[in-house]
Amino acid sequence: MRRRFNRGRTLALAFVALPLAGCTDEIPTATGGDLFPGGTRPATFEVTVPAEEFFRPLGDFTGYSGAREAGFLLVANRFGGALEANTLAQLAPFPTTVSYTQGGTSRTDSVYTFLRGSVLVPVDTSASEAGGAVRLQVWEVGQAWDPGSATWTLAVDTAGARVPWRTAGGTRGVLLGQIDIPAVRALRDTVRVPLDTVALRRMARPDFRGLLVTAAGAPSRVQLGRSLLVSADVRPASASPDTTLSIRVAAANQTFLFTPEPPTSPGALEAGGIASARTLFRVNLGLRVPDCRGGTCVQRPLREVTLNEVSLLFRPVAVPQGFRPLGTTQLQLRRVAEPELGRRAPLGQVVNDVVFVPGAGNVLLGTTFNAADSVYVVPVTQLATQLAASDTTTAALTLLGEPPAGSFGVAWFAPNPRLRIVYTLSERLSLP
Amino acid sequence: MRMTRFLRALPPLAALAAVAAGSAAPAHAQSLFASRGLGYPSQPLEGRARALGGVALGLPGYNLSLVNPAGAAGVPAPALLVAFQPDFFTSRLGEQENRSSTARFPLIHAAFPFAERWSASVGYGALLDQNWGARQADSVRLSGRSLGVTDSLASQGGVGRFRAGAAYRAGERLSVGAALDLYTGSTRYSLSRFFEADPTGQTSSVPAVQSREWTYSGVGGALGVHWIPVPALHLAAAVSAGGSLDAEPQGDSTVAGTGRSYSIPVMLHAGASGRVAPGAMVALSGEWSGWSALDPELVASGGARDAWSLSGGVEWDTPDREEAGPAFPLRVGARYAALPFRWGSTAGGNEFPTERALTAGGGARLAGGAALADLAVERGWRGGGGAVLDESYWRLTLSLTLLGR
Repeated sequence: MRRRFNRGRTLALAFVALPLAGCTDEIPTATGGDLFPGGTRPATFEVTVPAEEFFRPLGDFTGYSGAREAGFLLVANRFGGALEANTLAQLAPFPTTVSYTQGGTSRTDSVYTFLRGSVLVPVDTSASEAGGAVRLQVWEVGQAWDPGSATWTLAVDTAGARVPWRTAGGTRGVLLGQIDIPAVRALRDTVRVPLDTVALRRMARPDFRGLLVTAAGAPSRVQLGRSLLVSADVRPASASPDTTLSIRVAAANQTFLFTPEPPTSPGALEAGGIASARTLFRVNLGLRVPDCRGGTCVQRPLREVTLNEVSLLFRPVAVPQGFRPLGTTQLQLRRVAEPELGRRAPLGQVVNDVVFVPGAGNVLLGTTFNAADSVYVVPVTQLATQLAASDTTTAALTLLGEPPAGSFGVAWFAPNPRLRIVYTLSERLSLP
Repeated sequence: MRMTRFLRALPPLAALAAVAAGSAAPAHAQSLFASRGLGYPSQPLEGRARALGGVALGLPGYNLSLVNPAGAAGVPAPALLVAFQPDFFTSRLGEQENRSSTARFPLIHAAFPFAERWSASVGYGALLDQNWGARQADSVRLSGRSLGVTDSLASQGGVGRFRAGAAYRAGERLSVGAALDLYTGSTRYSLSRFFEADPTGQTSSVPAVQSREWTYSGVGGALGVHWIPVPALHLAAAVSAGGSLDAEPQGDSTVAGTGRSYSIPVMLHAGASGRVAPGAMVALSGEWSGWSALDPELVASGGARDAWSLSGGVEWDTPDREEAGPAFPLRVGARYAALPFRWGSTAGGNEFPTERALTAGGGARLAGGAALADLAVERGWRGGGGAVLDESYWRLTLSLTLLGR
């Protein structure tokens, strides 16, 4: 009896368990507006809010960084009618010995002769511009200078000494090499400025003061990578005549000098650039948007609609004196906790919208300002949704370059940004 | 002794019940007609009744379909019935064809004999299926360019019925039963608009999603009778009725709005079966539900009418096993039903749909009668009557009854 029951129990369990393995639940779904109970199709609208209804500037601040914090070097010649910039680099010592293998034997020689060489100058073509052919020249610095304090006018500017350049922008010594660049934008990554053996011997001397890289020719602004190198072919004295070795000497200290100082504008909103300009402002999202369904319009607060996309629209304006952005500039919008502290107001969290991109993870939207765009769009939907749902509908924000001094050009925007709101209204769902 | 055996059988019974209850919504998706009125009416039937076209009362022996409170009379030992129902259906709406499948537990029912003539029962069965969805692609014009959107509306949930009842065998020929019905369930509507990706990659639009949920409650009752005027003929009838089915909105009262209340219709069932030849039984049943009482409340969505159905079937079994119940019976049946809720609006000229089905199946008495397994296969069609929606379906019903003896 017990045995029979157990068999039945086993069969019973299998009877239920097997079909469960294929248990699915797909909702029958049809396509067609007719299936939506009357009026329940959502309706999406777009409004653009002028600055006076939501935006209040709190001030522009700059001077948070300089050439020494920049991740690049620069040369410029009359760019924008005003900008001049030269790059300075102190070289690491040339090697005192060279090693080579001859006849299967490894040898070291402390005497070698230079055959030829070049200065390798990496160029960021996307952040460079020239009105024509540019001559890139490499000079020996004509006087002692301090990499930590040199400015356009001072070779040394420390607490103990202020030594002016004999020539503003860096005193030029001997011309070591030069190259003509017909079109900067057509360059490959690295420019080779050829050096002769005389130049190489000068550079190898212990009293060599460093390189001064300048641009001449057409007005230009050329952004260089922060990794200048000197490459030289040498022949050890003890080696056979057909032996050639290649040595490389890196720059030990690098900086660039420029004039004039970045311009400021009393009207424009500033962000980024070599001085890490930032604009503080306050937004008030206690706004109402129209609901014009059914022929009559009523105004609804943002918390009563679904915000699909809220974006700040900044209109770029011209930046004078050669400081305009070239290519792309990385900017961020951050919260500011205590805007009354002005330039020292501590920065809060980034408020650019975040989207998840497969393979890339969370990606911030609107952080790239392209100088060619007529409108710079910064999506802030998540911030707007948060503010609309809270009692405090205002927030102090700042637009700034990220990382600091990440680009030379500063972005200027008109002082009246707009707010684009895309929102959806849905009929209240109800039972039949 | 019976109680001891039942207690020993409790663990597997409880496991089965847990599986079934955990998987059972009041009803799972089975038709786009669920989008009309209060949903698609579900029948809490076990496999034998399904195979006979839907005849669930007036059959020889006890019957644990959740139709006749008197059906539990005569259950020989504590019993648990679980029905499992995979469904494969194709909907044709205009030129669209939508294929889908689902699986659900439409019925779980336990019965306990006590005091010689009495049986108590408690069960849960589906009543209204409200699982359906709609989708529509469209476009909106934003900042001077067209952006694709997809709207979708999903309804999930339904109404089920808990029934606790008692049946009494007044003699060898008459059984009566009464039950208390608790209506329960919920419906969640989700309306969404999704935006296609911004081709410029500058922005990302957040979908608009609105959800609302209502929970249902209501109380009703049922009475039933099973009469055997002559040994070869069984007659049965049942009636259920109630007050109101109250739908209460969930969540923030400022946005949830007010609830609604619907009259629970009177439902009448009558069935009969007769032995027409040794080993052959013919069964017939009819059902009428007074859904038209809800017509004023549902007029905006097309209205409601009284629903009815006719079912019939034949069961064959080995004659010499009749006393112990069928061992491996075979069954065929058919059903015709008038569904209660109109597709579309009255103005649109749409009529009420109907449902036709042909059924077949069989049963098996296993483990010396400790387990009864019944399988039904149903091929059906819904629509017609001017409805723009037509559906066809294959439905399997597998039911297992475990007896604790």
